[in-house]
Amino acid sequence: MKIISNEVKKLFNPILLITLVVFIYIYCRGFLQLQYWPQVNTGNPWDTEVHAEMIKIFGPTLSRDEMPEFMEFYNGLVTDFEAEMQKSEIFKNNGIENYKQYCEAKGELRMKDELTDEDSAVDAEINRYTFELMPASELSFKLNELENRLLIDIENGGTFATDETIKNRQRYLDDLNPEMAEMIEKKFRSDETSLLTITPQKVVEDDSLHIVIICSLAVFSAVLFMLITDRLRGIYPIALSSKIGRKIFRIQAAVSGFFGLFAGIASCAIYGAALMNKGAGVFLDCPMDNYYYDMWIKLSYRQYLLIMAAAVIVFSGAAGLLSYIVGRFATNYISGLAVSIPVIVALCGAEFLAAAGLFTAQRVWIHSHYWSSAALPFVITLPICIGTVTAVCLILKHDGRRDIL
Amino acid sequence: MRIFRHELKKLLLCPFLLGLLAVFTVYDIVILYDDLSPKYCGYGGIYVAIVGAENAEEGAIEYYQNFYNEFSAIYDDLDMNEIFKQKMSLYYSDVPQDSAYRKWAEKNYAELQTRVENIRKTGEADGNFYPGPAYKIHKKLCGLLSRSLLESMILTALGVLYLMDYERVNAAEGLVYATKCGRKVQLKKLLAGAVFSLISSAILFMMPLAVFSAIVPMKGLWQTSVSAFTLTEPTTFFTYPFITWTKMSVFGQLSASLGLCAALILITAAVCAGAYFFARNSYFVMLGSGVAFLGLLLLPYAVPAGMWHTVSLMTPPVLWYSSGMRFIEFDPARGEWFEAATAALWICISAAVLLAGWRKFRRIGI
Repeated sequence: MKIISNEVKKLFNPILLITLVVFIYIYCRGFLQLQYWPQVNTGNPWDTEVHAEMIKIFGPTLSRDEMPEFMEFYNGLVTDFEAEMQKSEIFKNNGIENYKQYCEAKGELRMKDELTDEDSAVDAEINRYTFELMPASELSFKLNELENRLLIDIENGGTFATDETIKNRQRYLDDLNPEMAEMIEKKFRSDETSLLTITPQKVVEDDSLHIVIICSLAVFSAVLFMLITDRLRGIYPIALSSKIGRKIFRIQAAVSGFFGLFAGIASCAIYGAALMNKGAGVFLDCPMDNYYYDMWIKLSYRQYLLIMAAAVIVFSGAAGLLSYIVGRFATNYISGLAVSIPVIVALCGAEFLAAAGLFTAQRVWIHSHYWSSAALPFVITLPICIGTVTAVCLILKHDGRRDIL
Repeated sequence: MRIFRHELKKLLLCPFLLGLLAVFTVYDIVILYDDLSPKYCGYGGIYVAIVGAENAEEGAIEYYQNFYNEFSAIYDDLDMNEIFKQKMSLYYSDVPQDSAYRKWAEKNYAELQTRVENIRKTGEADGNFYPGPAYKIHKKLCGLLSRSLLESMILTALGVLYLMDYERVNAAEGLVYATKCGRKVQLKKLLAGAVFSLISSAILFMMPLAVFSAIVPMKGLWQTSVSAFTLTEPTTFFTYPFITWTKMSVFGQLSASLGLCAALILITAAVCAGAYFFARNSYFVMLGSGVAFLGLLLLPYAVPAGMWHTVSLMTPPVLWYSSGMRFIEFDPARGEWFEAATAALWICISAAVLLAGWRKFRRIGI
């Protein structure tokens, strides 16, 4: 136990720890997408909120039978927006009294090449109502989201499709391979549609790679420093000269692997807490097969998060073992760092291939069939896990037998 | 001289540095090869149409002619003052109208407007080149330089630190640094590291450039002005030609960029060596350099618009990141001498760090 605690202590060099904390802070501030919640990959800051409101009313999915209630919800927002419109003199003077007229005026202005003074005034007022004036701006974005996401999509046959509306999508379906076309048509004709919006999925997809990068860099930095410092202090020959000493190698390998796992688990836990704090908890039961993504395997958002967390932990653990392998062969700090760079890039590249667009049909080049989509994460992850564990076992076996001379 | 040769030999025969150099080179070539996948008529096909050779295919000539006709009038309505206003409202809306900073930026764009008029008058705008929107040759060339520069900087830092930490790692510090002459070995190591970094950088830059030249016929096109309308590459919000601060051909910009890259590589070597004299541990210097690089890269996002924002942009990581827009109008916060001023500033900083470090190292007890 004492040896284990000593080896663990070696991982936490104070200068290294400070450097890593600064690095993690800068990296998170620079690249983590969660900080931009709810405006990730969309121009609409209110789409996540309006979906959350709908989930509270309709549950994780909206069914065909619930459309009258949905229209009531939609009309409620329209009424609120019209109440805001009444405050504008410009709208009144130009005969724009209700939401329908507002949308028509917006469309007409967009088509015009040259604007008169009156047009410019209306255009400026519409822009103010859309982007500046609260709560009109919020309502405008929410209405826009509901129209694009549901009302227009229903007309175009993308949601609650009927034999009539599905014709609008026929050309799109004809271009797909039969297996994919069947899956997507089934989704179009489904009686239920998921109320999950793009932000909760996209933010996790992007950040999972960043978390693996952070974990890999942190684990490699700590483990390489521990192992190479030991080598430079001449501890290896002393350790090899006794049976207990040889055990240290096994302990170091285990500590490296567990440190990787710990880094993965801790970062997933912190990230998960931050994600829930932002308001992603309301989407947990929503099916992942939504307006934005066509999923080969039916998952809920909760299951998706768990799979992504498992991927991060596995890759982080693999980073721990890989750093042990690199650290054992590196003769000095610089050689360890030089070898680590391509190894970390390859590891993060593998995570990107395995986890990005998990089980979705969107990335057609690799996910165009059920089996390629379902098998891809395992095809990438398993060889990495088996390969690193086997390599570490072989090194340890060699350590047990080798001559100190 | 013998010590210098011996130290350089250490680096040139170092297996992990050579391995990393090979990995980087192969990676660059693979990425470049993928980046240069043929478009429309292929590079050879469109090239003969561009240079007006007799064996050009009808389709390629028509394609190039259509592009030429569509973009040839792009300079007619180009107003840099209007672009300035749009960019300010997009990126720097919080800068007060009457501030000195805004006036400085406004003056820069007024000069650019004069330059645009010059380009129109002198016919600099009319050079033939691969159609920018479809082929994006300029972007690909700059992407190549950007990748190679980052890799060169990594190799430089590793090479210099490997040599400088060699005595400590091999427990020969007490022996080597016991004399004045022994301590001077560190300077020779720095010199050897700088030479190695230039050699490895030459390989890292030249190999992808050779592949680029083999795939993309450029004979006769290197002399085309960067500001020619044919090079126009649309960005997220704007579509207008590259407006260089002074007359510059594609070859001229490439050469100037390579010169700047060489300066950045030497700055990296000097800063790493200077930092090593203080920390005397290659591992922490390398990690610290990585963190500092990331921090300097993201610093401008944390600094509000103003003079300090421009100062925060004057760092090697920012120069690396914006490698596609060197010597070109790009950001109202950058003036004509941005690249040169940044390089000069960092040459001074690195020299100061190096001198201070050397001073400390000379006096330190063994």
